[in-house]
Amino acid sequence: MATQFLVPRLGEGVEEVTISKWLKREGEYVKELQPLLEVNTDKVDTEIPSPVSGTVLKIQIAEGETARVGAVLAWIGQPGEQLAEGASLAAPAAHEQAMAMDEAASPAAVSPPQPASRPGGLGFISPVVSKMALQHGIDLSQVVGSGQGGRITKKDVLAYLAATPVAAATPVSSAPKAEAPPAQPGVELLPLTTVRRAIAEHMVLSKRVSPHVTTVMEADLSRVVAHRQAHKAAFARSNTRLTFTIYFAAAAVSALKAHPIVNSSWSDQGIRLQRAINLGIATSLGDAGLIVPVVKQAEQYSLLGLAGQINDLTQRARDRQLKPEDVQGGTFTITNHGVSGSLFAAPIINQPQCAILGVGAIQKRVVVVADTSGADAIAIRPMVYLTLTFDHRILDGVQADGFLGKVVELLQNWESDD
Amino acid sequence: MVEDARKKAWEAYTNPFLHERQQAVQLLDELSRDFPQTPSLVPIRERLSTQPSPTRRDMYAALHQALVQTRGFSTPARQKLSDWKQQLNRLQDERYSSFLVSPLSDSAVQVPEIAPVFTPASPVVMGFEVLNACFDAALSRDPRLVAFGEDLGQLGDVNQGFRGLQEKYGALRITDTGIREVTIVGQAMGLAMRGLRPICEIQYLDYLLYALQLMSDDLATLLWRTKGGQKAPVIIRTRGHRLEGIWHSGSPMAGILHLVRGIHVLTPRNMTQAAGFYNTLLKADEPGLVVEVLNGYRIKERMPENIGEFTIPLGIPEVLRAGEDVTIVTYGACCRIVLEAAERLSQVNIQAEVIDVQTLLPFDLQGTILESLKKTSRILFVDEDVPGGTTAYMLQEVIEKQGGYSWLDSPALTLPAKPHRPAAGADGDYWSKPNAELVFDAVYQQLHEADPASYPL
Repeated sequence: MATQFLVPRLGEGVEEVTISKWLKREGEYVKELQPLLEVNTDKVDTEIPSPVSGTVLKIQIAEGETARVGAVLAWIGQPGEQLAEGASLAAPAAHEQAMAMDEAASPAAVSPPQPASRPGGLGFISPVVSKMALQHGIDLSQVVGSGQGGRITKKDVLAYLAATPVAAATPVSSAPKAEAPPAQPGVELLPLTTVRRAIAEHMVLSKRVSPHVTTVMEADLSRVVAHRQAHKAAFARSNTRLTFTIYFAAAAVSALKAHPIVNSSWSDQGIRLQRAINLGIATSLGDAGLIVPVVKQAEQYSLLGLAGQINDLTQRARDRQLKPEDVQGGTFTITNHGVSGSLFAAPIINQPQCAILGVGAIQKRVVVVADTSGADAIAIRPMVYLTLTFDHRILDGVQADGFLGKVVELLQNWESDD
Repeated sequence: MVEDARKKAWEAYTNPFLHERQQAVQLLDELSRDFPQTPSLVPIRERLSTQPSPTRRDMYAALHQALVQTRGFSTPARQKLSDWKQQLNRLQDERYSSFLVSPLSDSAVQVPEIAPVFTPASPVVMGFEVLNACFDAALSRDPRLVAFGEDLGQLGDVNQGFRGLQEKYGALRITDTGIREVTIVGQAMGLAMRGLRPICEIQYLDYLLYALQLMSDDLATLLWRTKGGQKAPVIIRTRGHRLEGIWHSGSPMAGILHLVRGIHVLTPRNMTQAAGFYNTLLKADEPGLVVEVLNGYRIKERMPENIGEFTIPLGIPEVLRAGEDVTIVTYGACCRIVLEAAERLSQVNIQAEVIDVQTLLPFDLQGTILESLKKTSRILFVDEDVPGGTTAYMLQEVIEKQGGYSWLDSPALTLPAKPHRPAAGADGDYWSKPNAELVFDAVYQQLHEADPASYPL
C-alpha cells in the first residue's frame, strides 16, 4: 500500500509552499527522515524529510510549482506497486471542509424557553431603552419584555412602538390606575390589548393637556367630484386609488402652508412651528384599534405622489406592515370618520399636535346657490361637513376658522394640473 | 551685573503673572458686588491678592472656588469671570498640551485618501510582494528614503518585503543592522532629524519592547516638548500578532500605545492596507509605527495599479461586513478571525457588523463605530492583547468619548487574549488567543440574553 506524502503544516500563516527542488527522482529509494525535497516557505528554503522508507513512485507536484498545505506531493511505496486509479489526483480537502452548522433543533422537539415574568419593578433598563422611552413618552410598564428574565430590550420597544397607533412625543406621566372592579355576574371582562391601552392613555392625556375647541364648516365638493371622475382612471393606470381622502389631505397641506401656525405644537418655552408638514392619516384597523401612519414632508408631493404615499401607508397599516418610523413625527392629523357614515364629529387632538381635521360623510343635499343672474336658486350638491378640533392654547377661533375656511375654499374651487 | 540680569529675567517671568492676577482680583471684586450676601468670596479674593509670586494655577483655583460659591446664579459679573477662566484654560492647554501630534498640514492625519485602483488585469500576488512593490516605488521616488533593520539588507527582510531592493538601490540605502533594537530606533531618529526619511525595521513586535524606552522618552515627546520646534518623522516597521512561540507572537499593543502617545500607531489587517499606510506616512512629516500582520505575507492579495500613490487615511475605520445585530470592533490579524466568526453567526441568523479600526492612534476620528452602535445597540471589542489592554482602550474611546453608553442595549464586552504570553505550539496559540469559536460564543451569549426565544442555548 503506497503512502501519500502530503505538504506538511510548516507554521502559522503558511498556507502554501513552492517546490524549489526534488532531492529524489521517481523510482529512487528514500529512507525515513531522509530529506526528500526543498520548499520555499515564508522565510528561507527548508528541507522536508520523507515520512517513510520506500521508493518514490510518483511525484505529483513539479519543481517551481506551488502546493497548498495538505496537498499530495508524492507517493512512496514498493517498486512496481500500482496506484489506485485517480487516487493521486484529488488533494484531500479535509482542512478546507466547510463547517456544517447544526440546524436549530426543531420546535417540536424543544419548546422555546418562555420569557419569565419580571419580578416586581421593571428590572434592568438598558441605556438605549431608557433613552427611547423618554423620547417617545412610553410607559415601560406597558411593554412586554422578551429578554432573559423578562428584560425589556430595544427590540421590544421598537415592537411596542410599531404596534401603538398614537405614540406621542410627550412623556406620559403615569396616572393612578383605577382598581380592577371585582368580577360581577353577567359582566365579562375583556382583557386590554396593548393597542387599546395605548389609545386609552393617549386620549386621556390629550384631553387633559389641551383645551379642545371644535369648529364646523361645510364644503361643496362638486368640483372635487368632477375632478375625481375625470382622473380616477388615469390614476388607476399608475396603480393608485384616487380616494376622496387624497383631496382632503391635499387641501389640508395647502391650507397649512397658508396658515403655518396650525402646523405647530405647544411648549412652555414657546409655540414650536414645524417646518415640515408631516400629515397623519387616521386609519381604522377594525376591532384591533386605530393607527395613524404619517406622510413625511407631505408638502413636496403632487396629488399623484400624495395618493401613492397614502395608499401605501394605509395598505401597510391594514397589513400590519408599518415600521416604527411610519407612525412617528406627525405634525397634523386628518380623520375621515365619514367612511362609517358619521356626518360630523369632534375628534381628539393627536398630541403634541395643534389640531385635527375631521371629515364627515359626503351627501347630496339641497342647497341654496346663486344662479347665473345672481339670484338665489335651489341646487343638489355633494356636500361634506368638515370639523377642526384645535388646541385653544395655540389658536383662537378666528385663526382656526381662517384655516378651515381655506380648506373649504380649496375644495370648492378645486383646480389641479394633475 | 549678574544680579541685575537675574532680576530682569525674574521680572520678565513674573510680570505677566502679576498682570493677570490683577485682572483676576478685579473680576472677583465685580463678582462680590453682585453677591453681597456671599461673604465666603472675601477670603478667596484676599488669599489671591496677597499670594507672593502667584502662578496661573492660583488664579484658576481661586476663580473656580468663587464660581462654586456662587453656583446656581447667573449675573453679568459671574459670566465675565467664567469666560475669563475658560480663556485662561484654553491658553494653558495651548501652552502645555499642544503639538503632541502635529496640528499643521504636515500631519499624517491631513493626508488625503487616494483609493487603490484595481483593474481586471491586476495580478493576484503574495502579500509580501505588495509591500515589496510599495517600498520599491517609494525608494525610486524619494532619494531621502533609507531602510535598515535586522536581516533587512542582504536577505530583504525575513518576510521578503525588501527582496532585491539592496541590489537595486545599494547597500548605503538598504542596510543590515546588529541585534540591538534601541540602536536601530536611535539611528532612525538621528537620520530623521537631519532631514532623511528612514524606515527602520524591528523584526518582531515582541522585540519592540527593547526599543520602547527610547520611543517613549525621546521620539514620542520630541514634537511636543519643543512645541513643534523639532521633529523626527521616523517610520518604524514591525510585524506581529500571529506566529508561534512565547517571544514571537505576542501582541502587547496597549503597553505600546500607552507609552508612545505622539507616535501614530497603525495596525493594517493586510499588506495592501500596510502599503497604503506607508504611502500616507511618507507624504507626511510625523513619526509612525506600522504593525504588519505576521501571518499575512503569504496570503494572496491583488496588486493595486497605483501601488506607489494610493494612501489610506488615518483614524478612519472600515466596515468589513455590514450587520444589524451586533457590532464587533477589532484590528490587525483578528480581522480574519472575526470575519470567520461573523460568517458562522450569519448561519444562525445573527448578522454581525465587523469593523476594522485600522489605526489605534489616532482612533476613529469620525465616529464610524458609534454610528454602527446606534444601529445594533450591542458591541464587542476583540483583540489579542491582554485583558484590559487595547480592548479596554477602544471601549473607553467608544463608550465614554464617543458617547456610546446611551445607545447600549446589552453590556459592552471585550474579548482579549489570556493574560499570559501565547503558549507554545498551535494548540498553545489557540488556547491563548481569541478564536472564531470564542467570538461566536461571546456574541451568541449576548443575543441569547436579549432574546432567549430566538436564540436558544
